[in-house]
Amino acid sequence: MAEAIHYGFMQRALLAGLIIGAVCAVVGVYVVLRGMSFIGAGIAHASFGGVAIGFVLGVNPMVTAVLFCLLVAWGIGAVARRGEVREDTAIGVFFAATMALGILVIGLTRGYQVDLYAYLFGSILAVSPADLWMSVALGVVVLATVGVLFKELLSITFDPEMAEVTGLPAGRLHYVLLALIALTVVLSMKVVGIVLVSALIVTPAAAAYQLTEDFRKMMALSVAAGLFATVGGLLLSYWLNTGSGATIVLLTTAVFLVALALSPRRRRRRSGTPDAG
Amino acid sequence: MNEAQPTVDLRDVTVEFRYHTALEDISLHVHPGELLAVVGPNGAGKTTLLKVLLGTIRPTRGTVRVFGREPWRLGEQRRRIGYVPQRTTGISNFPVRVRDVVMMGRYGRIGVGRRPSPEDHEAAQRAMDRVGIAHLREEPIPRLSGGQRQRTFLARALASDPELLLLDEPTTGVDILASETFYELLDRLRSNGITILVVSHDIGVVAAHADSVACINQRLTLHGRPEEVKSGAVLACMYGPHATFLDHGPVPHMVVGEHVHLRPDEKDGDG
Repeated sequence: MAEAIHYGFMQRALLAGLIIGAVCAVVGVYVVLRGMSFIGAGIAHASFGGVAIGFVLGVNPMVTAVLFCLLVAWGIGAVARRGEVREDTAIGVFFAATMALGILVIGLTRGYQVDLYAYLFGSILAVSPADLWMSVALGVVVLATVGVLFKELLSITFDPEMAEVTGLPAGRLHYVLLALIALTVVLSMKVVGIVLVSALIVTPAAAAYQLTEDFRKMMALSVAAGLFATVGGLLLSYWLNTGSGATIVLLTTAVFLVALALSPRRRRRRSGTPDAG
Repeated sequence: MNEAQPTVDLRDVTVEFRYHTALEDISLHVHPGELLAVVGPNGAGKTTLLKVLLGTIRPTRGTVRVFGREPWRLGEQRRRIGYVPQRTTGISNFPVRVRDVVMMGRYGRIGVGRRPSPEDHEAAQRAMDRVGIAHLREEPIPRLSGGQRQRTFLARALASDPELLLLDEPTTGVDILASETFYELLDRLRSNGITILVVSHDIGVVAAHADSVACINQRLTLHGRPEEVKSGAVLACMYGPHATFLDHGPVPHMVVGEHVHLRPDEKDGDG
């Protein structure tokens, strides 16, 4: 344990892990309750296109990924809002298209395949000091936004139509939520990987949902599960010499299964007692 | 009462969507302090009508006035409208407490990025007292019965101190006793001066509490006092194949199609 901490790469990975665990867990609460899991996966895969463009242009891929993900997230939102294409259809189209764009662009430029593997599946070694700062900055932006717009995001998640009727700018708030998902994906991708990041957004919140009927408690439990999974997963990945993304995601899945087994919601449903009061 | 400006005033309102017409030439008005029941079969355009009044759907033709203004231009005045939407399934499992949901009714008034003030907490508490759910304030939504949940949503609508209440099928899936309690609650709110428009497909209960009944099946087929609106005519509007030949004014006699099956409790509309 102690020796792991002495390596610079491990310190950076753990610090990044703390931010990733907290941010994914917080944003995940909205994603789970609003039924946006598929959007999360779609945006995550879209980041591959952004990373590829970064490689080609010789810019830090996280920067291009931020811009690209925001564009795709808002694009999905805009197309779905017009109502002519269903949201899941829009995601299905963008999902594949952006992935394909990434593969095409990478194919045009040789020699980066090894780095690319880290982006796809996450790597404990991949977090450079610049990446860490970028993750900190994005994490602060996401958490501060949630802090300021706490009641607004709760309202559009609970009942978007009512949010609009009570006078909140529900449409714009939905775009804010999409942007938060995009930023969360990008700040997590170095450690967790593009392919696995949506699981880290959804699973801690899904575990917390099983354990409480209070929104704030759900967020706190989700953060606890997220931090446990990222920090625990990174340490396990170091000791077992396994991929960091996969280890983190499997650990959070284990947490979810335990929560499911302990769930008062599930027990109540099983025993058939309808409701108190 | 009738000399005053109507709270809700629709004239020849038509709403066309891409593939169908939801409402056609609807004219109706609700005066201050009145309870209007809008009945009609599923898909008759009742919810569309409410959305027109809320300003979220604009009519293709015709004029709409709520408090004398076009609903989408109400701006700040929108708070004068309280809305209880049709029950949606996802919400019943949402991990949030009654007091949080009621407070949501004031979010627009509080303003983006701000926290509720003591005054907001008082208003939310008042709304809970009014509908008799103060003892449930800490209760999570998933633990409520159907009737309690509807009263919570009514309290949310009341939290912004509205002058007009719009309710969309408020008692669907709620048992008869809870439904009766709910309408008694509406009676009380109306006698406190709140104007109410309630949409329902349950003619029996609604007619017993309404000042007037409008029957909509894409077009407005009936609009009158509950006792004028005899069950046969309402049923024709609800289920009849040629409902459009009915019109405003005296209720024409009409034979109800044989595919209509009445439950005993629905036979008398005027209680």
